[in-house]
Amino acid sequence: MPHYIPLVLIGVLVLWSIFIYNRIVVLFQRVRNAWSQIDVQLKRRYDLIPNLVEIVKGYMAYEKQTLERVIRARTQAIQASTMKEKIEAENLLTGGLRSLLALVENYPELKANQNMLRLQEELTTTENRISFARQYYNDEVMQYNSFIQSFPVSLMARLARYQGEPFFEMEDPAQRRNTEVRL
Amino acid sequence: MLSSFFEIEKRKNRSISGLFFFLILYYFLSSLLLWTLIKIAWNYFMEPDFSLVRSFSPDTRGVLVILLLSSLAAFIHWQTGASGAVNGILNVLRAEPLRLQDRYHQMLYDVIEETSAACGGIKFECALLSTSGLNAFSLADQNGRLVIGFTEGLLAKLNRNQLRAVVSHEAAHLLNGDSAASTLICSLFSLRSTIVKNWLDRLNRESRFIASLFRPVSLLLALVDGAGKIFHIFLSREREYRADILGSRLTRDPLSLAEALYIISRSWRGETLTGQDLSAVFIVDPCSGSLDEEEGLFSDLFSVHPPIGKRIDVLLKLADAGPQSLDGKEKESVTGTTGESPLPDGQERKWYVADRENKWKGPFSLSEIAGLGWFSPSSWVRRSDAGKAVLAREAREFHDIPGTGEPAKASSGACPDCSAGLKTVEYEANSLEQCSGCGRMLIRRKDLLRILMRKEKDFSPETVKMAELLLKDAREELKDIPIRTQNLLACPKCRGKMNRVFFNWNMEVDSSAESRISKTGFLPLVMDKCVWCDLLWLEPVKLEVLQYIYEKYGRIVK
Repeated sequence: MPHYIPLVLIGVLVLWSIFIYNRIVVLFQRVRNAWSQIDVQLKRRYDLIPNLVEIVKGYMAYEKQTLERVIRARTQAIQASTMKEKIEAENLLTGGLRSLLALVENYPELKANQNMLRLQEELTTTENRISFARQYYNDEVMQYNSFIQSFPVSLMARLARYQGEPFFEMEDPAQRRNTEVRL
Repeated sequence: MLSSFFEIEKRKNRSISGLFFFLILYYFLSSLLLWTLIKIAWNYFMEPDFSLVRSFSPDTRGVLVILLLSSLAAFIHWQTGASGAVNGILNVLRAEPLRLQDRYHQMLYDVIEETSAACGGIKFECALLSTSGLNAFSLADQNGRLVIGFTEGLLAKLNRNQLRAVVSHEAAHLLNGDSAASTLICSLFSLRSTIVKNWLDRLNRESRFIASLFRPVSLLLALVDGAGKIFHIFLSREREYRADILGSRLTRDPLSLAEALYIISRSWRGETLTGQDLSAVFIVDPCSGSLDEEEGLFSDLFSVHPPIGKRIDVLLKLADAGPQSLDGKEKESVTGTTGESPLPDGQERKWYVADRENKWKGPFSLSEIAGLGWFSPSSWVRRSDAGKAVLAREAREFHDIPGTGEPAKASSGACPDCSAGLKTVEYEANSLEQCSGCGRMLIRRKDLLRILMRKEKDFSPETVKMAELLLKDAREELKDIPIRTQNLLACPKCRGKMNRVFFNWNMEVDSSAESRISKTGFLPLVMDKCVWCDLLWLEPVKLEVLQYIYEKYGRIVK
């Protein structure tokens, strides 16, 4: 056996490792980017909630609990430090907003308020943008997780300490059926 | 799936480089052919011992010179065609930006932003074409501009999901790099001849002699552009299928795209909007040529749109749905179903009204409601025989109750009929100016087409009756219907005298309007028109009559 064959094999292995490592980095950065897109939309939603609360509180004096639940969920979402905590808090906030907007239906005067109508369209599009950004994020996570969990890439990923990323999933099974908000 | 700006740019650059080399080849081969023909002609007339074979023999130095010159010509053509390609096409199509005060435009903007989120935050611009044709297009240039365009007709016809499906289809073209190639090909081979032709048409109106001097240039350009059709082989038909699939993947909703295509397929697609050569950038061919509906090698090579029926079939299979799911998917038309069933003689219509605690009270007649102390224009009302609740100020019947007209922003100008102030009101999602006294409306001509295309309004039996009577007259010749030429009204905007005119479909709505509505395009409906401000001044009932006629007899391709 010629003596250069092991050298060639090592060279191929090194090149393969570099290629795989770079691919993992690219996919990981794409997941980060997708998350930052969700973050932009979530920030937009945080900014809309104080306006929403300001408009509805005058009309919905008896729905104090629901309002407080939304405000609490917003604070939790802003304060969440890990991605897992954030996903949980956001799901809570989505649920809170959904029930608040369902209650608006019971208040015709509030429903007719021009500011409320504008805000509802803003919230509709924001919720849709969040669900599309989440869909994009989940697609990227699936690509990344599938890559780093397949053999032999998994060995390299473990060595480089790259782990799978969590999906942004809906907790409420009713929400799973329809990703689009209808207000 | 492409998911980053860099990947899109990479793919775009690849397809553009391919085009550039093909352009050099195109110039080289056509110059070589021209050179050979000149050589044969020269030899035939000048050489005593003419030989056809010798005339074809390659001349290395000559070929190199031709290659150099053709590369130079291709470069110059490329530079002049590629720079400002998007702006050039938008100008030819007379595209306009969105007006976010308009509810429909706002919805389109929101849907484009939602699609942008589905594509990882890639930003798209939006343009609108003011036509009743149903179509959409996408454009991209080398500077990273990505534009999605819609016609007002399509915007008025589709619901939010269908709108999103079409936007996603166009976004898919932009992500795939298809739009970069189609924009460039249209810009290289169609734009110049269209611009020169339009310019010559204008010149022709001023001076026929000068225009005739430029005709050979126009002819030469048309010839080069005609030969440029060969570039359409770069635009595979398959790209439409790919964009349908990728678009459906973005929305996860292939059925809505099938519905949208079905609606487009049954309507006029705006063929007068553009020459056939710009059709490559549209979702369906505006000229709906027969080649598009054929299959086979020739149509595969030179048609850029596959048969629309086949596209719908593929999408329906993807959605696991049958053709019956497409029935009745158009936005509901209110024509004919006026929403108001006639009441037996002597019986007055009754209404329920929501009180301050939002409890339904009643039923009351209109006169009883006027006497309710707590009733206001913002009160919710519901007809006793129908379940739909509306705000009192939105129901026409309540406008006779004092103070129940729409509270609106004061606007500049005063009514030329009753001198009351004008206010800004929302009508079919457009903001218009209306007299707060007599209710007459001031409408920009551009807004009129938009209003006619939208179908939010119910029509009263009186409006329907009036419209049908008018149509009966319009189908005859316009005879001696008197029209006032004295005491003309002053335009509320410029204070100049307005003309008193019969309404003309061809003039006011669409210069290519089909004359299904009336023989001459005229309707015996008199209104005032300010030619300087391009405004119409008319009573609301006349506008409703126009809306009814347009909805019922407007452009429909069977």
